[in-house]
Amino acid sequence: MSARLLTALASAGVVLLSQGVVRAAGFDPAGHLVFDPDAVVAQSFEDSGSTAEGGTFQVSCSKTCQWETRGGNPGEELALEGKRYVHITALRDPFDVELPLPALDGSYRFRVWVRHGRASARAVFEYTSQERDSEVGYMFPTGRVTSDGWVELESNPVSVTGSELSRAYLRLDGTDADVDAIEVVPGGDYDPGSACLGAFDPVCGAGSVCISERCRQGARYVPPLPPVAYRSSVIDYMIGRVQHFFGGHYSRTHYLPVALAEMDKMRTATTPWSFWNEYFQGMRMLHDWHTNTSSAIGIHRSPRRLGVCFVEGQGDLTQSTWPTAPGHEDVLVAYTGPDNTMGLHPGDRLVAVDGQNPIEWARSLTRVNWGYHAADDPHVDADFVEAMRDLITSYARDFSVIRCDSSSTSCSDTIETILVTDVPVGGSVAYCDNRPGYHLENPPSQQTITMHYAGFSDWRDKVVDSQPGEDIYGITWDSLYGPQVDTFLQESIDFFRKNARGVILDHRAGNGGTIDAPEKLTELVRTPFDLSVGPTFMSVADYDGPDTQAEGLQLFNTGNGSVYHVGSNNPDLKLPVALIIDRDGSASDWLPHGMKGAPDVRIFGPHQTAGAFSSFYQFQYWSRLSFQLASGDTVDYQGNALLGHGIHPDVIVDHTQTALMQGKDLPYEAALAWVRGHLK
Amino acid sequence: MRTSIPASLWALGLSVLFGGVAVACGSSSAVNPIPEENAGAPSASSKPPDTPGTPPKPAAVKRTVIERNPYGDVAATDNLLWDGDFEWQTAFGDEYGWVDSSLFAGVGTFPEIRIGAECHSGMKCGYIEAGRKASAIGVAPSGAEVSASAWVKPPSDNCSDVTVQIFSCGATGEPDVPLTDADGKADTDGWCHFRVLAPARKTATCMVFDAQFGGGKEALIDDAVIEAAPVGAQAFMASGPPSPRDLAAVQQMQKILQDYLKPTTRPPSAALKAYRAWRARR
Repeated sequence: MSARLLTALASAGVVLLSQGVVRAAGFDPAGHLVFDPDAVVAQSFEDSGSTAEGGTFQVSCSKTCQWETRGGNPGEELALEGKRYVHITALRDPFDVELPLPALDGSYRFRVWVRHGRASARAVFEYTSQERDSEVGYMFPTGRVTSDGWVELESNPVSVTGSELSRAYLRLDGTDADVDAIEVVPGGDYDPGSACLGAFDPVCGAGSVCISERCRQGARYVPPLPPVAYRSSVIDYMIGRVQHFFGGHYSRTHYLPVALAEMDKMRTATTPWSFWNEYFQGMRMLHDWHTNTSSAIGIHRSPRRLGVCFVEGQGDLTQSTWPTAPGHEDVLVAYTGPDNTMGLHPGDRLVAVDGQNPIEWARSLTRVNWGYHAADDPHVDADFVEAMRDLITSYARDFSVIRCDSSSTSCSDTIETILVTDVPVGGSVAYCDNRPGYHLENPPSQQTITMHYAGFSDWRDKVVDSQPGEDIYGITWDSLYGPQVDTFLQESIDFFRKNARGVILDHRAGNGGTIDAPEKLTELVRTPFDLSVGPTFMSVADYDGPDTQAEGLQLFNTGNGSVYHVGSNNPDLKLPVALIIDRDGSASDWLPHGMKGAPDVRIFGPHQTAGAFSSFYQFQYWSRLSFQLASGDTVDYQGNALLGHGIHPDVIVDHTQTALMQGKDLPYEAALAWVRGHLK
Repeated sequence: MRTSIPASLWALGLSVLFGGVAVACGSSSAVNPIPEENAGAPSASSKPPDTPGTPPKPAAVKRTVIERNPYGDVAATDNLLWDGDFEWQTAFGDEYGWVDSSLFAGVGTFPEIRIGAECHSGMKCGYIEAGRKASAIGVAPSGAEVSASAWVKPPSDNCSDVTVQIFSCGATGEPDVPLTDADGKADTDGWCHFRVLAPARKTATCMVFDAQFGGGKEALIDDAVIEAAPVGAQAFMASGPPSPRDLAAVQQMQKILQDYLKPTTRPPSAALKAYRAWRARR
């Protein structure tokens, strides 16, 4: 071994001695980074500036993005390579460095070093081919750091189709961060990628996922496989987060074992994608409303936009053609938006996606859908149905419908299958909020009606069907985020007390929020009561929650958590209040929980809420890899652990094909009829 | 778990190779920006000469390279703190495993993060400034004694610059237990290793760090661990009960945690507000 090599190895000695891993870029004995001789791009920002300033590197940095070259002057910090580096503030508008990649198809690792600020880095490839669209390669810490603060970020090997490349650049987000030593080095096998259709298209192979008609190489979005030296510790630690902290009684009993078994497959994973996807798939198998996963692979939503919104209901006119599947409601068209309706109308029925029951198909997407979102209550499918139209365009090949005719109130006896590729790209489509119609006067805007964009509006007004003297008022809203709605809710309570003889609360896309908001609303309808305690602290690791009501009562009486105080000393107990629910979770579970049982309250809807009676903690790694893990449970005054048990409507009202095609909103009509019969 | 070779071995290697140039190289080495004029660095393109018979003049070493586990201190695989070494810290979230004393009524997140070699392990660590406190959130081991430890790099070599305790997150009456460094002095790399082996606990257990030093300084925090003690381990605790100041620190953090740990009124973090403002402008 030559002296030169020996000294070079000593500088990087920790790597070699402890890991047996040889890095492409090295350091000379003085600690200067030396680019890999095989690098096809090596950028160290040694010029006076960008091409616009007479230099040779080209950057894009506009609006709030700021940058400057630094280094080489007395008192300044050291560049990693050469004399100069770039300092950026680019959180809101990114900093892009052009990468002059060869016009050859190949596979590369992308590296960059950052200092001081945490920076998110990714290589972006834009292509001349519209079908290929754009591709990315996200970078993560390798573990190499320098004594003066530099941190190395690196991508997995990612394929670049240079023959179709129109532009390649490194994109950085970060505040007050230094950047230096960008390097692109050949590595890995080129995978041209391919078109595909449907989430389980075998053409993509094990390392890719078919999303929005392209095989998405998973390694582009996850960190490298941890070195063998500490891989098992990483696995044990990551699984330990779930084992020790996750969930409440129901979710730990019913979901956790299967999820942990899935995560255990990390131990035999041989690729970065399989390693990380096993962990995050396991997390999705926890089937918890507050538990979710996220990575940059989620950016690949289909550009095709299906202008149809679905709800659960009874396919009352099509049972002879396609009977209801056991265990699930039928899936009906609730309403359509301005564009891309595919000729569908309210009351039409979605009977299959890729040949499967639509809900079963949506539930099968845990492996591929990083945005998978499920209720804790296993009998609640509302989240899947609300998201169905977007799931179809991103993950399905085709979907099958039965069309109906509103003029004859009848439906076809044939099944029509529509290819996803027939759904147009772009267009204006409405939000899906489980409301076939709105029923208050004076909508905040026309957009509220046409686009179903009512979620964050403070929309309180008289019910359009209120007859003279009835004075039935209502609220249509989705958020229970206290800082936004508490004042509005207090004003509404005051208003209802003075002016209303009946109230209808339409909360059918209950996005949750904070518990103070549902507590506030209960002040109108009941006297004070400590209804439940929770989310309770998980006191000791691996606590599976109360096995018995007696144990639950002990928890309730201990008060180890926040007490859910409902009611007030001045409720209006003669005012009938109807609450309409559909897809409701978290604080939107607590709302019907707090309203239920009040003397003059009735809850209407097709099914129970999500049962998401927990809190959660959030974890975020580098480059958009993150997860949220639910923890804790809620115990009511009778000792029942509530997590996993949604709040049931007092009156179950299903949509039907007949009603939808006649423009009827049955849950609302049932609520209106009950309020009319109980006017103050 | 760190994967670097021991600092002593590393320093020995450098001494041999570079003629005794004093460099702190362990993963917990003191790290400060190195001004260019002190570095005597050769140009970026320079490489060690390899002409036979003319030994190269040793270049001044301007930095060292350290290998870390980018997932942090995962050796404590059953760490019962949610994120004891900050590797999964989120600036955008509102429910993270650390809180600091600047929170009011449970509002805010934990933005005090440092990145890189200055941390004791991994890529990220936390810090507290003068007069501040920070708490890690966790649970107690099930049916076992409690082993708790943390690394703190105080502004001086005096470990009493920061006090560390485990306490009941929910104010349920279990005793607060101080952690101590064995000799009260920072190691050569500037870090103090606080530890305690305490009796079993039955309630959610948190760990508080209280800055005792003056203004304009900060202490780094990393590798905080609560785990089940090995069977048969002898409990040891700091001499004497917690001081009134320690008790007050715990009470303050308990109040914050009680608000923080329930889903209640909580405006978005500063980072999230900035992000939303940006989105609104686009």
